[in-house]
Amino acid sequence: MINAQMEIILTVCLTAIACAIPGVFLIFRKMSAYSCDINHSVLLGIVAAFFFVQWIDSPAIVFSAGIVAIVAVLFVEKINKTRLAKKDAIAGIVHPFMLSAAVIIISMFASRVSIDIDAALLGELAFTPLNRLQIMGYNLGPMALWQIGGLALLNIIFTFIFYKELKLSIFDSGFATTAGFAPKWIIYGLMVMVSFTSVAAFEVAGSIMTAGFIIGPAVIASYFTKRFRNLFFIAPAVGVISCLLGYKSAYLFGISIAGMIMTVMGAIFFLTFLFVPGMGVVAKTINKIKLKMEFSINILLVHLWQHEILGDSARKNSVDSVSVYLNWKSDFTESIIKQSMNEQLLGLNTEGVLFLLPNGKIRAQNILER
Amino acid sequence: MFSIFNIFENYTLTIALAGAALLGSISGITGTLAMLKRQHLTVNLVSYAALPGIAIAFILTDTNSHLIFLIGAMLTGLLAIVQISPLIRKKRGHQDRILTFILSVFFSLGIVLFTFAQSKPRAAQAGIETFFFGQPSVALMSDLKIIAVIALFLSIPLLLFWKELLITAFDPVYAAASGISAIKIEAVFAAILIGNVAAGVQTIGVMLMGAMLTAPPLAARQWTNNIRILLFLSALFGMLSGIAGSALSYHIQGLPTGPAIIVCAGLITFLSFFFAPKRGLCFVYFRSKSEQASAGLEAILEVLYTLSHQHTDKDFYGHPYSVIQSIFPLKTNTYTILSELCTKGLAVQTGRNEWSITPEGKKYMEEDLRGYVK
Repeated sequence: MINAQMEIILTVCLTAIACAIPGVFLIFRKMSAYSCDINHSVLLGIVAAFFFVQWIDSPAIVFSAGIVAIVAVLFVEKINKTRLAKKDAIAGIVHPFMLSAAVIIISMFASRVSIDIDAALLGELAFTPLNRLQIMGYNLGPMALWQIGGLALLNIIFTFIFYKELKLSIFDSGFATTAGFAPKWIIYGLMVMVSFTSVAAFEVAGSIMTAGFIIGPAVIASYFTKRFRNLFFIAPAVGVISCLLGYKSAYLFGISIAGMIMTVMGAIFFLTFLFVPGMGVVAKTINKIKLKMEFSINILLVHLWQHEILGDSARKNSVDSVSVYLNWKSDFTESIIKQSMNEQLLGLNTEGVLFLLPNGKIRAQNILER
Repeated sequence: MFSIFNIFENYTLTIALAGAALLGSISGITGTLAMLKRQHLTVNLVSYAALPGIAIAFILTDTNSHLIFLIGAMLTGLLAIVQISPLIRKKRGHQDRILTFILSVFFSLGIVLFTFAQSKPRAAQAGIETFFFGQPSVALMSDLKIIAVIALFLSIPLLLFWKELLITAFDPVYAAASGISAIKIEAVFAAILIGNVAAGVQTIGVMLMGAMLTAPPLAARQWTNNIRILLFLSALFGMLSGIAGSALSYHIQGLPTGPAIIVCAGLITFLSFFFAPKRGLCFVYFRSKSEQASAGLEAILEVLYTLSHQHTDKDFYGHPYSVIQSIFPLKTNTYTILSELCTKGLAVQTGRNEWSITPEGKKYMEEDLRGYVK
């Protein structure tokens, strides 16, 4: 049983890696919704192939599903070119239409098409070890493992070979065209890559969660780095980490593994969004408060410096008049003054008038000279 | 397959059809607003977010009451909208990717909660797939009542804030300048959207509710440029697909309601894409053909006109076909265009394979194309 568990973990981790790599390209190409749409259409391809090939692990099914997904995407592109409607609106009906058709076929011809809708939408990760690849009587491990492992390898190779072309096509397709890279075909290649990855991941993660597997790690990784190349290491790592955590908690509670992995990924995203250094909400808020404090101190110093030069400091530099002249609330003024005193920038004499210490004078002069 | 009398004879079918029709028409109206605001992804997000809400309601109350499910769906829909609202103002690509991701997370959360609920010993028989694709159309009177009440509640903010909603959708800058609070109108729209999704989740299902809100306005958009007609048509198309889908699913054994309705809505949309007047693909194709033909007509006439200046000594100097063809090699058949010019009296055939412009033709060129011909 331990062996079976290891196989599941390995399969799901490979799925995460295979999905995360095209995801990075997708989110920067602004095609993230595409991953969600394609998974709606894939089911129709699988069902259609079932009518002709009654064998669930046939490569014909993978091909048929991939081709149907690509056709759906091209159809959306074609209508989008006529400018009859916005692209996401067209995708919003074409792909659900295909999903509906698939569901209708499944439920009408249930005897001929032996797919369970639940399994198709949620994935059947727990059963992957049961379906094994056997060549000449040798048991080589689960079929899904080989399938997704092969795709992960293909994706890595594709990215490695066409890294420069893909990067250029995504960030500056105009320049890519003039440099002779044919960005259109490179993007089509990317679409084919996403389609086949989706089909292979479909069996493991199910329809909707595959979209999350593709987009999620890339979105999270984009908070950690500004270098494009680093994304290809961080995104798969994020995917694998959420797979391990998700599998562990799903095992503990006895619930859907793929669902739990995506939930964990959501939690990681939420934490990242809040706490990541530099780009997280908390870091940004702290930075904002710091900047506000620093700017206010600067203003206060300049105000004091000006009036010390003019010689009316007794009237204008008292604590009360500062808050009047700078239009600050009195408690805010007090906190700024306290902070500046802590930094040895200014002092308060016996008549309640603020005066600049040498440090403060230098800083005020520096600001004015800038 | 089914006749109009059949509807009234059969009580269950009447209820189901009335529910689907009502739902379709309010979806059409809400969807129009969403389309104008270009918030298709938000629509999808809210409908997917209903799944964990239903699951939580199911776990907490352990009942099968639809009303409680709807409340749960509304609450998580609200949570989803609140969660993404700070992101809405961000850059568009950024917003899309996070919306797609959160959508997937909400769905997975729903799945996790459902599998958790099913593992409990006292779990009721409600399966997940009834919420994916809607229930078979053996709807109950109570369902119809719920939909009717929600429709009534949705119509109040729609009527009250109609003007503001439209202005914000069309021109947010102008709306802000005229003192309409963007946040208030966003909230009204969100409330309408959440209510509508909750009403539809039972019949159409979580996965397809987004399409139900997208398809009817998209189809209606092809037929008109007028906002009132757009709304009316959108509601009509929504209603038609609702009725057709649920009638089909009632009459055909094992046909799930949600997909049936969406297939009908999709067919209406595709037909509109192809056959709508003025915008439809067929119309555009024929118009471009006829424009090409008339453009060819004028081009050849212009050639004849220019050539006639070379031979001012003779009124009807015949120009050989090869000359005309070499000056203006059109893809369309030059012979047919020339013969058409002859029937219109603008040109005349002076000899074998020779044509010349008539005084009428010259007049036509000088009057109608004064700007182009010198």
